[in-house]
Amino acid sequence: MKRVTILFVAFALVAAACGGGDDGEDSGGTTQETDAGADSTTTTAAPAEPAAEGGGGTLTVGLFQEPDNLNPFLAVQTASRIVRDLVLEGLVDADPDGNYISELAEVPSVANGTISEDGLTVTYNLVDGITWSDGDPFTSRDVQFTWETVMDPANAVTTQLGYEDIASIETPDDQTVVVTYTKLYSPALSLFSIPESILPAHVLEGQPFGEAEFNRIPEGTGPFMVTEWNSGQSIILDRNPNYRDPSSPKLDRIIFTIIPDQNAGIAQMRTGEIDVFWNVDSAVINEFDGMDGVTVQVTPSSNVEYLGLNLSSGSDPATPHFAFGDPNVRLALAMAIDRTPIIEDLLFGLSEAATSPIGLGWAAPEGLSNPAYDPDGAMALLEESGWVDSGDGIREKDGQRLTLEITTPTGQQVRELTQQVLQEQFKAVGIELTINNVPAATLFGNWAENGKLQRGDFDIAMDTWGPDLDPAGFLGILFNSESIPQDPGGQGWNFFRLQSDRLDAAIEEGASTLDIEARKAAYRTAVEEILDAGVYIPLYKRSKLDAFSDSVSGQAPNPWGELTWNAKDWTIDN
Amino acid sequence: MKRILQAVPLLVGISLVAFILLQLTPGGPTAAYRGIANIRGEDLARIEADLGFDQPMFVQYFNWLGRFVQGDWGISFVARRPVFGLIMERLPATLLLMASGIIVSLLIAVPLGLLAAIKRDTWVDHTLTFASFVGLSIPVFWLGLMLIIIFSVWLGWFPSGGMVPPGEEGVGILTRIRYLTLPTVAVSMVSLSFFTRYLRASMIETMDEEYMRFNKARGLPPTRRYMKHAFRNAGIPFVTVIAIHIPEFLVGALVVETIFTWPGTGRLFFDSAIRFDYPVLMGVLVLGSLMVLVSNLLADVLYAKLDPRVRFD
Repeated sequence: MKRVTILFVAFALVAAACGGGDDGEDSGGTTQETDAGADSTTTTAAPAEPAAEGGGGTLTVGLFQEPDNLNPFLAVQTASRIVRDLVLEGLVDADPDGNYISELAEVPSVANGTISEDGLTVTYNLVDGITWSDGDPFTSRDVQFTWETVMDPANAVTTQLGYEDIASIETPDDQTVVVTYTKLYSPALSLFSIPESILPAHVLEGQPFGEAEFNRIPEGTGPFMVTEWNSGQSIILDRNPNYRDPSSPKLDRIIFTIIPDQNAGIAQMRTGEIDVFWNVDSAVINEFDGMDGVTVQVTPSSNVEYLGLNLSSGSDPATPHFAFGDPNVRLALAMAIDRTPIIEDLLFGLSEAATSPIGLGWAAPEGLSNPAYDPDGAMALLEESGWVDSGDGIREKDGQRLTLEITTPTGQQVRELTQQVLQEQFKAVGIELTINNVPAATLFGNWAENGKLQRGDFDIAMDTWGPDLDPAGFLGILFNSESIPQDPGGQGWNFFRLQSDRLDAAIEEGASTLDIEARKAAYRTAVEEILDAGVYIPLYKRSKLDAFSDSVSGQAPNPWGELTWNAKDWTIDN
Repeated sequence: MKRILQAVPLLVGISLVAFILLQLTPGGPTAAYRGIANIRGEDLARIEADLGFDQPMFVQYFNWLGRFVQGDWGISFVARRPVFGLIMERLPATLLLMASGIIVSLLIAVPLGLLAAIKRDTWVDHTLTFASFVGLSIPVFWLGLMLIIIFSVWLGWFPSGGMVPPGEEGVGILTRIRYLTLPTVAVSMVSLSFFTRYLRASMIETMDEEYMRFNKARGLPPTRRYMKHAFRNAGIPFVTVIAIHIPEFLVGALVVETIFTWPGTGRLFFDSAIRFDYPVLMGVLVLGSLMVLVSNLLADVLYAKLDPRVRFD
């Protein structure tokens, strides 16, 4: 009997299919559909706006990356900062020129006595009248709690750099914080502020830090607050009614919608489904040429696209690389590169040539230049070092062909095209370049994971990196000889395996004083050492490209902040 | 019951192989920490110890398995939230897409397959054969992008991605269907073509049987012959094929969800794979394997129910 029933159902299905035709997609749903159709007024592709409370409107931002979480001490993704910068605030912030400005506290300085002469004591005077979005007052205890949280071994925070140099934090009253350091930490003013922020003690105290609800729906002092996070879809922020400036923010609501694909994001800009698209890939930026009502905002960044040469054969700094052990070959490589076609044709002229690992900010040395593009000179250098034509245009020495492997994370179109341009340019001087790109996690994996850079399993790496507002950490982790990756435990990023006492001393000196002029001089020495070594060949400065609908105004580029750094001033005109 | 018990060691085996393969893949979750100048070697070592990466591989596996069977699927390295919750909040979206894909492909494939078999070797059959081979050979990601370009960018009929309009409350059925349409087309195209081909072949085989010729000879009307006698018998292997084929929709969803920004487990898996989020990957893999095993089991049970010649002890 059961068999018959099942077959009957199967027949009924077929009959429904044959009889129902194309519109029978959801049999039984017909009445519901009609009802919904009658209720719903949205028949176009445009997203419906919620009823505007303050008349400020809703802005939709496309993010190609979903934030990992919104806790500044746990998150590593830039998208996290884009969202949480609207909610969480630091003691100070940075303006587009790289100067510290007041946020939750006045900016401390030696001049007004809030930084001691020896730089070991920093006093913060908190701004009056600030509350968390739930109405609780923001006090000095929150700052103290933030430090205690970072240093608690139970909390797997991403970094303790700088925080570990703090001896104590005292709170003489609710509005005053006195931070005492055990030793001088030159970027001290970035702590608690950039890219981190202050945590609410009254919300997080006694909570399991790693799994707190705060990490997704944070309580903040900023202009907006997170009201909803639909995984994989959208994060919705509404204006914080308790924000200290009643005239801010101008917008009622910001919706971040997750669009992992660049082409899909461009399509949604075109259809007006989103008003802002964060971080457009320079490979597709020409899609916006002539698109009505959309303007691309170009923000310079401190990130530099560069070639990193491996001085070692494999991972051991004691065994020199077969080609790069010779400074002539390193210089020849730099002289064989013509940046013009890369910048003009691949980057549509939206970036400029880089000349230094520190390309922006107070520490960027002025007046540096790259070795001039000179293929003949490059060939002369190679000849001088004994690399001669093997007969097919590629040079060889002692039976070894001058074949070099370049690697970069897969899936980045501009880099892949740049590699092909370099391949041609190097071939012109007799160097064969083979391309071997691998997934980012493989390239940047740690020692135990056999990461290619850590293990020295490459000749040339193509990468992007740049300093923060204070370059101390960047220079140390990338160029200090203590940062050469090695077994066991050594997990720095000096994958060039560059060892220079003069460079180490300059990096050390730059971090040992708060005297800005002395620091500038030290960092100039450091940069010159790096460039003279020829292991770091700067290609171009990366620009950040964000697409804005012309209905949005108030945005401004800030190399030291992220897209939404001043979103409280944004308006939308629908 | 015996077969369900057999599935348990199989699942454990799959999870062990998956775990080893994930661990052997070069790269790891801390690669995401690269490029952040203030995360130093000692910070990485501290984080890895906290997450348990400093343990030997098999210790890590048995720790994971021990917690997994107790219902603790671990914590995502990336989102810092329990994996079980992460997967469960994404699962309904995937099930919806799969169900809609299966229903749509059957609604189209069954009549087309029957038609092709009945009109065998005519222009109708040839056209359908050609069309289904085209459908079988179109890469899903390409089809997805074409659908977006044509139907959302050019024509503006359907949204290019997402499941509901962001930030909108009380979304109606009609809106939901508009968002579901393009992903459903993309996810069902291959299976639709496959089902059509399979049903055609199965029907033709049945129609060539002696009893069918006898039915024709005794003057039964064509409708009765095809629907009652031929389809009924051809349908038995077909139902089994559908059940075995269900995991294909899961695989299809992986690609389609990424293209259409559909917030399902497929995209969760994709995102987690990029970030080497092992606990999430393991959770999705085990769940996926479970779905394959269940659909195979379903196929066997259905086959036994439908075909009186097959009996399990």
